[in-house]
Amino acid sequence: MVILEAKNVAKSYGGLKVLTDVNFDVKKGEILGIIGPNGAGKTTFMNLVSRLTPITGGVIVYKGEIINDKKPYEIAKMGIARTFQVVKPFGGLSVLENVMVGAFYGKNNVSSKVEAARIAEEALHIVGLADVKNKDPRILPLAKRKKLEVARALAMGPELLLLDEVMAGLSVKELDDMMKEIIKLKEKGITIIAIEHVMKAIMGISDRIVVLHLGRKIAEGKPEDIVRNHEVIEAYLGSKYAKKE
Amino acid sequence: MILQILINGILLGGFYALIGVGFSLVWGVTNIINLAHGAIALLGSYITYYMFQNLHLDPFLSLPFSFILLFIFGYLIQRYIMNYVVKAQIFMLLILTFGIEIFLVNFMTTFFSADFRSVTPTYAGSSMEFAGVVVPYIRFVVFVICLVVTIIMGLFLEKTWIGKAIRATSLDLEAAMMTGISPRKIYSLTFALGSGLAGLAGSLLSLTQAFSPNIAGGLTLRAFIVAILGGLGRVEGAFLGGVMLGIIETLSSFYIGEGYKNAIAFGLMVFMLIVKPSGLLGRKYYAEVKH
Amino acid sequence: MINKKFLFFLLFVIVLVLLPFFVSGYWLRVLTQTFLFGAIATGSNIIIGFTGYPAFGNIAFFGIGAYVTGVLTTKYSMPFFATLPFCALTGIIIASLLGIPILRLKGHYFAIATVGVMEAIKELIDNMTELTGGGLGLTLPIMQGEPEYIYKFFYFVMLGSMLFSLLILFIISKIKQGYALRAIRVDEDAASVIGINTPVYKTFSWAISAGLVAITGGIYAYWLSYIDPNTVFGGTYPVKMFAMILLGGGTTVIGPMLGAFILELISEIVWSKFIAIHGMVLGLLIIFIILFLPKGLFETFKGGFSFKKLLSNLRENRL
Repeated sequence: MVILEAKNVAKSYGGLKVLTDVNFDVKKGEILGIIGPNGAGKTTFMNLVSRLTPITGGVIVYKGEIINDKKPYEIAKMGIARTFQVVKPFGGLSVLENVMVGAFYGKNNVSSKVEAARIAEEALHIVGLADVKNKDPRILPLAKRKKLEVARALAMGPELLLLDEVMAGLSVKELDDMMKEIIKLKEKGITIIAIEHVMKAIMGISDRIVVLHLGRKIAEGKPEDIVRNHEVIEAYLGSKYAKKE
Repeated sequence: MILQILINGILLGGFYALIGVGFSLVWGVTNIINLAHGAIALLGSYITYYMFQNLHLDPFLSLPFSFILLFIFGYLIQRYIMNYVVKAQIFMLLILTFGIEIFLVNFMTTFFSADFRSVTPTYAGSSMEFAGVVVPYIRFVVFVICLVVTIIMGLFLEKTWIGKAIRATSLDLEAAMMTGISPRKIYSLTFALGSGLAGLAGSLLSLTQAFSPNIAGGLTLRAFIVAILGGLGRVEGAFLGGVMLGIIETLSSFYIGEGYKNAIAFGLMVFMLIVKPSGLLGRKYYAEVKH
Repeated sequence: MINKKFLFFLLFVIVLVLLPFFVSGYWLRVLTQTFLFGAIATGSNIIIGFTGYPAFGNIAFFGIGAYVTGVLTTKYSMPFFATLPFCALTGIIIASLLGIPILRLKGHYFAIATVGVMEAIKELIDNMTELTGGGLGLTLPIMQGEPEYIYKFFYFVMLGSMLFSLLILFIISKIKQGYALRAIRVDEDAASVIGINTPVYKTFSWAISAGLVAITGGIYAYWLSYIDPNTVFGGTYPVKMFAMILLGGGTTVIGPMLGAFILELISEIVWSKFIAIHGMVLGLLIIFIILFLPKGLFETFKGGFSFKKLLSNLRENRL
């Protein structure tokens, strides 16, 4: 079953074309990795899905409904959650309270603080932050702040989770940790789209990969096929290294 | 009749342009909205006034003094106060400049009194007339000076090395730093320029209307509107914005009444902010994009 | 959930309640003025400190409230207390309507736009001479009674306004919607993708702020018995309000009130001793606060007082 479809999606800022004619589907329950050299348009795509910026061409369809004109908070209530590259926890609120915001306003949309706290604690437990729940999130190290982002998104009760470079800046051990957690989320039935630069991680957890380059999709398929795709290699390393099959 | 109003508006607009240029430049380059701008301009007015009263110096000759003194003053303020807060949240800077404004306005009230002053040299009343329109000589000269200064500023920014350094800083602070430009010096210089220009405007103001420390706020307000209308840091834009404001103000004074000047000016400004925040001519500057 | 802080606060309130029976009219007036600022700062903090929208011109609503009470008591002979809900309602409605275009602006654009609002409303009121008396001002019916009684009356009413504002801010800090406002302050985009309807929440926040400040304005009008556009719109109120919020800390409930107490009491001492330069001292004070105490007194000196901390604040935001 397909949960998200991108059909001829395009995005321009004035004369600058950031995304052109992007087409792919995301199957329910899979982990889809989006990779591509810098400037490929990956984060822009994510901004389109979460509706932070208008779509200038094509449609994005979520669970059979076109979401081009939805507002970001409506998207959240429909079951889409996302994390950001630059993590900004809500200062003035504890770790637990940060995650509770997700429970209050995401698809879960709970009204009672007690209920929100319960959902938040569960989310924190899944990402392994239960022990710091009452701390000020601004003092947490990077890896934990990234987990906080994920927990906050989880507390929303999403069906589709968009992760924006959640692996960046993590040490080897932290990477392993995060990879395991993302697989745990998949096991809970959440569909995941992850933008990544850390190859080992994204290739390791994705069921399928989409490769963007200069705003276009240049390849799609299983990780092991993508790695050998000559267009992909050319995009990353230049034509010298691309071998024609 | 309408021609007279338009001419009055344009003449007034030239002055607004001058008061707006310095403000706009500072805002565009350093992202500082200087709420003390009007007060600094008034310092220029008082310099001209006292030179006229005590030294019998022709007001137009006091212009260089006004510019230089306030240039130095502005430099000192930026170097020793503002540079310490530049990286803080934007409205902190707003409050800081407001604090400076309060200080200056009270300083002027204490030492110069709140009485309205004006500078009236012997040639004050005369005017020329053509096509049924009366143009007072002083206002005309003031307008010309404003135009000339604006052009000089534009050329300075465009052609000189320092001017280009200033523009580079406003477009991309980090890149400018990497080419060896010291942001601290540029910020200080820009603020100094802005203050100098404010002082000039103040001096010219003393010739065209009565002033007192209490009009500082209104002056800053006008500078702000001009900056928004013209686009931050855009000298040509400031001139256009100033003239536009001058015309709209005189028109509305005539047709709607004196009392609604501020409301209309603000309405115009808010309208501009929502519809085209980069101003009539402006592009997005570093200052604007950064936050 | 009784804890130390709450007990201190309770003690503080009790002292304030008992004070009028022990101190002179002069100090009652000073304290009433302090409560005024406490109420304004606390009410405004909902939009400024909590939601992160620096409504510098929030005093506009103070003026609006003052004139609502002024007009209702003079032209419609309404009893004083009955006017207060109207003050609140007017503030709420105007803020909600203005919020639609103006809350779309961010940071200093928003701040200046609110100042614009304040100046424009001031001018409009100035021009509605029939209704408001315009530049000549409006004289309200003077309250009947002994001076002693009147001082105490306004002391308690103003105290009540401040406590009410504190209560509202406190409630907001505890409920679900308060979380949303604080999220908006930190990162509006992140807040909207979490599911917060940011335009509605921002408007809601500003409307409540406006309502609270308007009530305070109404009380002020009746207290002074005379208002004119210049005194109730602007002057040093906006910057004092802001400095108080900064000094005491905008992210807490009692911060603004504490900031108000400190700044107002200092102001009063300076004013009484150095009348001539009082304005300059205020300006210098504000410069000092921004340079050395931008995070507020309590946040800066959390672990104890030291000059070093002041200096490090100075260097932190240095170019």
